This record gives sequence, structure tokens and C-alpha cells, in this order.
Amino acid sequence: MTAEELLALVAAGMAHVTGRPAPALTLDAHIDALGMDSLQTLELVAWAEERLSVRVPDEELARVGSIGELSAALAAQLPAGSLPAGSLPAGSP
Amino acid sequence: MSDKADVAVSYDVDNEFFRLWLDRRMNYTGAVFQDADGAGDDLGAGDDLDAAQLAKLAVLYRLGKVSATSRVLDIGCGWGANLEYLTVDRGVREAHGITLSEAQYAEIRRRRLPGVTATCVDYRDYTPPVRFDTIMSICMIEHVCTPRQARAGQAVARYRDLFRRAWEWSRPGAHFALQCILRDRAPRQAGDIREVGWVTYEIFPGGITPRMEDIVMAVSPYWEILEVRTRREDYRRTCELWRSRLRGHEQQIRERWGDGLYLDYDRYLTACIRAFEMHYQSMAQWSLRRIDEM
Repeated sequence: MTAEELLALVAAGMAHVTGRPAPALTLDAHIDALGMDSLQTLELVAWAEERLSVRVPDEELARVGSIGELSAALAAQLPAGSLPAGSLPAGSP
Repeated sequence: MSDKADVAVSYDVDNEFFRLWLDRRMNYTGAVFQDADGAGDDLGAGDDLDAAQLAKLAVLYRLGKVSATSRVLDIGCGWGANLEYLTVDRGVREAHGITLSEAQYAEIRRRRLPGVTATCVDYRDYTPPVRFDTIMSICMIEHVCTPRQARAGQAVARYRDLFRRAWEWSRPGAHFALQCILRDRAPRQAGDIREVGWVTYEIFPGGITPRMEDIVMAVSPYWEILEVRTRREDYRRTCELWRSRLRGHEQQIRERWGDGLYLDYDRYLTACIRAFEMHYQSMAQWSLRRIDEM
């Protein structure tokens, strides 16, 4: 899976949770600013986890604030080599 | 931090309403049904909520290293159950409570407990007249950080501010008995997410339960963790008894306070039972010792 595909998956999840068309996402966009509250964020994570067959550790979920952080948290659970090196923001696994 | 208006939503409904379904002294926090070594043996409390709440207060008395000569501060003292236990049952000479709830403060004054003083104040505005030998806080820290602050990564700083103040209010060698609900696994099922969110925002606005690792980080550099014990099953059982007693007074509650209040509290307690069953929430009791060397 590429970083772009992961971002597209997150966008599709946002559309699923909010019932609104998928927005154009950037990694530095804050989830709050996109109109998602913490409960919707949790629903989004659950939706993405199910499709990727992964589970993000709960302590990491508590600190997810931006799209980049959310993508990185999901990517960290994917098999090694699933994403090209450097395709997610600094601090990403 | 839950402000005064938030606290009023949670605790100022009506003292007579809470009196119907809490225990005799109105503990509104998890009770203790199992013995201290965790072997699963029942303390004999059975379904006796009064006995289980007394057992909880006895555990915290031990964790706080309280004695009859101790000067005790109870931060978030509720309707005064622990203050009453300390002074009446244990003969503690001086116990002071602070609460932000006007209804709880009125109940404490009504009880006229010997050796007990209380202040209705935000803990951040509290100036103690003396330093205390023991600090106790039973399920108040859940009000210290808002969901938004937690999401912004500010939870540890918020909790550490409380532990710093408690350090400043205590004497060298002091102990801190802390009980709190813990946020553990995050729910993944949409229905559970909705219900946990509803309780967080509608029943206890302005607060969020801490994660255990946040507390572990936040006590430093002020307090040393001597002991910690989780009691998820005990809190689930407490909630089941509360809901059973609430349902036992359904008609009276509906007639006096309306259908909405009854339905909201039945829904809230049902969500809590589910949350403890599913490990979304747990409960912890901590014994902390003041680090005197700074």
C-alpha cells in the first residue's frame, strides 16, 4: 500500500463516518478542523482498522490529532515495507 | 477541568434523587467487594452496597496511612461519605473536604460532622490554612482534564498540576490515597462509541477519565507510587447495584423528577456496566508517598 492509497482510505473513512463527500486531505490537516469530533475519529479508526486488518494501540489513539498522525498510527501496524520510506511525516514509524 | 456549571450538571440534580439509589452515606464512586490480595474472595459484602462502600473507604484509609491524629484533606469530597467515615468511624480529629458542587457542600454542612470542615471551591483556587498529613481524592481527577485537552496532549500536565498542588498542601512524609476510573481500551463498535461519548458529554461534561500511564507520569517528581491496584470488576458490580436500586425506585423518580431523568440515568448506568465489562474503563486505587527532597 502506498502513502497515497492510505490517505485515500482515510478520506473514504471520513466520508463513511460523517456522511459527507470525502474531503481533499493533507497530512498536516487537523482532524478537529475537518469537523470531526473525538467520537467520530474513533469510528474512523475502527473503520480503517477493519479494512487493513490492524489494531492501533489505544495509548497512540489518545494522541492522534492530525491526518498525518492518524495515517502514521495505521501505517505502523502494517507489515514492514508496506509503505515507502519517508512517505509519511517526520516522527512516523 | 469541569467548571462549576459542569459540576452542577453531574452532582446538583437533587440530593434526594441520589439518596434513593446510592448507599446510606452517598458514596458516588466504585465500592470494594474483593479482598486486598486479589484472590477473588468476597469480603462478605455480597450485594450489601453499604458494606462494600465501607470496605472501599477502609482500603483508602490504609493506602493513605491515616491515623486518628492525622490531618486529612479530601479533594472532591462528594456528599461527605469519606469525611464521615474518617471522623465518625475512625476517630480522625481533623478532616477537611473541598468540592465544587453547591448541593454536595450543603449536604456536608447538614450532616454537622465533628472535626469536619468543608469548602465549596475549585481546587485551583484553594488555599489551605494548614498542611496535611494525608491527601485523599476519590474519583475527582476525572474532572481535571477536558476531552479537548486530552486530545491535545495536555493530560499529563493537567494531572501533574494537581499533584504539585497536593505536594504543596502536604507535610513532609505525607501520603496520598488516590482512587480513579481509568480509560483503558478504546471502543471500536459504533454503538459503544456513541454510549461512552454520551456519558462523557451529557452526564459528566468537562471531564474525561485518565489513562493509567498518564497518572504514572504525572505523579513525578512529587509523589512516589508505593502501591496500585485495579478494581474493574468491583466498579462494574457497583454500577449494577446502583442501576438495580435506581430501577427499584422507577415510579417515584418518574413522578418526582420526570421520565427524562430516570431514562438518562438508567442509560448512563447501563453504559457504565458495559464499559467495565468490555475493559473500556477500569478503576485504580493508589498509595502515593510524598517525595520530600526536591
